[in-house]
Amino acid sequence: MDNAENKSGSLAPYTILDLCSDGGSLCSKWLADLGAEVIKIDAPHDDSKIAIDTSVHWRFMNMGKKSITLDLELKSDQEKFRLLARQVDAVIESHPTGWMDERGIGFDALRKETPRLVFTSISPFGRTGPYAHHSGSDLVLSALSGMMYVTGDKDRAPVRVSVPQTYLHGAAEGSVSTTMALYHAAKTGRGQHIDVSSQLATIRALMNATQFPPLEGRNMQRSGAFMEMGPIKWQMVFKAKDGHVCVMLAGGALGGTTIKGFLSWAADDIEVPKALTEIDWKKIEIMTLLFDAEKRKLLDKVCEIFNQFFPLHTKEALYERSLKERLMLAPVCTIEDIRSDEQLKARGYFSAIKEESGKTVHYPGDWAKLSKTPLNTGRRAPLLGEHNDLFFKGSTRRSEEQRAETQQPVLVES
Amino acid sequence: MENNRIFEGLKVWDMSWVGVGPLTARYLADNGATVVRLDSTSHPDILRTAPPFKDGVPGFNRSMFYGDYNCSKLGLGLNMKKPEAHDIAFEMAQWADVIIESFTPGTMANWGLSYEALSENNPRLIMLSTCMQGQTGPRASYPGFGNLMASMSGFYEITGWPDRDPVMVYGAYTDFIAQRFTTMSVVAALDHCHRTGEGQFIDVAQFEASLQFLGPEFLDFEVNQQAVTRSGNADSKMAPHGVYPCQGEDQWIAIAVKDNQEWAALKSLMGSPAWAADPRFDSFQGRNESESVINDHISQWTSSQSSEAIFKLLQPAVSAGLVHDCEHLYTDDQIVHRNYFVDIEHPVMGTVPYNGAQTAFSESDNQPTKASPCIGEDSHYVLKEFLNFDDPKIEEMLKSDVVQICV
Repeated sequence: MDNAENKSGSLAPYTILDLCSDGGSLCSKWLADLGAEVIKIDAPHDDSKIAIDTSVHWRFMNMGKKSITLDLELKSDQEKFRLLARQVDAVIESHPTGWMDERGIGFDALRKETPRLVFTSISPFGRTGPYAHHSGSDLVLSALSGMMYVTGDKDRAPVRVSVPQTYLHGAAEGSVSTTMALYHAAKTGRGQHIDVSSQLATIRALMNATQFPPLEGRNMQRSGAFMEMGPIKWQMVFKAKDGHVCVMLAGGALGGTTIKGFLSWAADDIEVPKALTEIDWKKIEIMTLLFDAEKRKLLDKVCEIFNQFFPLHTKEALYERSLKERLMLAPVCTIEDIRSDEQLKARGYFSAIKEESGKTVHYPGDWAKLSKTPLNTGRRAPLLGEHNDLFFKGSTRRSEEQRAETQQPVLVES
Repeated sequence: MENNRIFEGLKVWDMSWVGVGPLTARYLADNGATVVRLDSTSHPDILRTAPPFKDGVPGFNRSMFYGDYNCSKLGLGLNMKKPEAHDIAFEMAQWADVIIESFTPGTMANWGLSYEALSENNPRLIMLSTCMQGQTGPRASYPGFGNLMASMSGFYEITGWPDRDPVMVYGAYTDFIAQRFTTMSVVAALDHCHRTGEGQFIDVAQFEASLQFLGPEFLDFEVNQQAVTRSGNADSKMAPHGVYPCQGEDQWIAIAVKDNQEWAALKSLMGSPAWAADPRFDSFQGRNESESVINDHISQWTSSQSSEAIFKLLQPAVSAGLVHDCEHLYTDDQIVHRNYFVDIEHPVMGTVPYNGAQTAFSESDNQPTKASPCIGEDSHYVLKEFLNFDDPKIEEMLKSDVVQICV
């Protein structure tokens, strides 16, 4: 709206209404990071329920947004929503398929009033098709995207990543698509409906696995600590003294240096056959190493050495030496490890934010560094309905009297 | 190409390789930008040497690992060991609106291709540099791939069973998180440039972008001292919540009972068995406390049936899903409806399917426009049309191995 160019971030001129719950809220969080003014809309607080705005999920997913409350089951609040929608650039929602249309606030209705409006829907399966009304969940999307089948140990059931991921792929895809549609609307004056499928957004994370059936007639399998690629698999996760490490075993310049570096270090601790240390690993092409049966036997022997050697050292010691010698190893980090990571500290990744309670909490911050329009991170999430007075005389509490009351919107935000 | 694509007219010089950079450029290409992809026979993208290959036979132009990340682009083959190639790369950056690279930090500057040099006469230029740990800081030159970064970003620690070692998330997981942050940054910068005429430099560390997918978990650690770890398929808010064996080899159904209403529906659809009538199970707390008993009963019920039959029976009342292997993604009713896999004819591989758009736009086309290029496939066209080279000059560049083509 007004004075937009004075605000910070590439998307500073844009105002977005966010009607998402759960992971979908991240879509507009990332757009707020890019500078957009995001107004989150939730139902008024129900006294019988736990306050949603104290959870760590709310506090992260709604960083930098404003919050207002509208009860979209009420005609009067639907009208207020339409009034707001006429003055913004985008609406992002993750309600069940058909929910917005049934209340007269879907894409078709809003578009008639505001042709340049971008309307983004983030849903489990997309707004059309046989699963459009199916009940989605992270577990089920992990299954139906193929992600789960290739993750876990072969002797047990497939597993998902224990922290839900699939809606986040949908939310991030929503951020990408919404920025594209805003750019398009700025150039043409035409908005559009953006229909994101979290199922498809998760399939994209399968790297090359989807291409194996049509190209080579095989399915990748779950292989635990091993990386499977086509006809072969090789170990990548090894035990260390205090946890685990991940090592990229390959030939070529980097891979060869990695194998040679660890073998010569291992020789200080344990017996390493000369047949292995005398090989010039750098001269063996990456894929030759993996696909040539004879060379593969050598690689298996290297893994045997690594399985004896890595448990003698901490993951930090292994990582530190890898950094010095440019060896391709990463610790299997815990949340605690990452929180004290030196590189993240040096780049100022975690930003201290003073919360409403007065407490200072460190949040993950800038995920990109833009030289002219830096991200606008580092702003706490709002409390539920904190900005009602900026937009209309409303209440954060649900009551019969308030429902009956006709609240005239007073749009004072510019 | 169609003319109703968002980036019609946008020019992109894609000097990146492997995953994140090429996938970012692919987003722009699928949406109509003219994207020229750097490649060479002397130092080909490593993905060209990795499977799957057409019919399992290796070859630079037979890998769909490479192909899938580079459709809708043109191919320019340059041997970057030659200084003349640096000059051509420089000229391409003068032609371009966006340049994308993912070399070890410092490489571009060593070639005379720093953002400062490239933007001197092209102030609208947007340049994305993406690597593992960012362009600055003590570990900027850390070498690696997305599978190492997935480990460093915590994703392996939180995947697998609590009584076992961590497992890999398939592939280079964090590549597929970072690629969306790189793309939204570039598009937002294009929007800014459209309004102001100002270009800029963008630095995306895969590490930093990927941690956005664990944001609440960092707060939980800081505020509540709770460090998340792997928990198999259990969930803190839903029970039962698991993957159950079905008829046939390695066949499974995932069931996530989201609330009491879904539990009532599941009970009824299972035929109201006596064990499920326990009133304690009517609350999440009760089901959570007895989840292993409930899981045993559900496994008994599922194991004598096909996963397909249970999926059809339970949805849409209960959140349930087939555990698809990749082959079955191609026949899934919803994925087919969304036209996700797009068949395109490639000069060497023939007709092969590409992963398509994950979003449907109501006004703009965004599916792949052409097959991925063979090495340097469009070198003549690009040098002639975009840089105004004449034929003798191109021939000379080919002879002196500055320009490389392998089709």
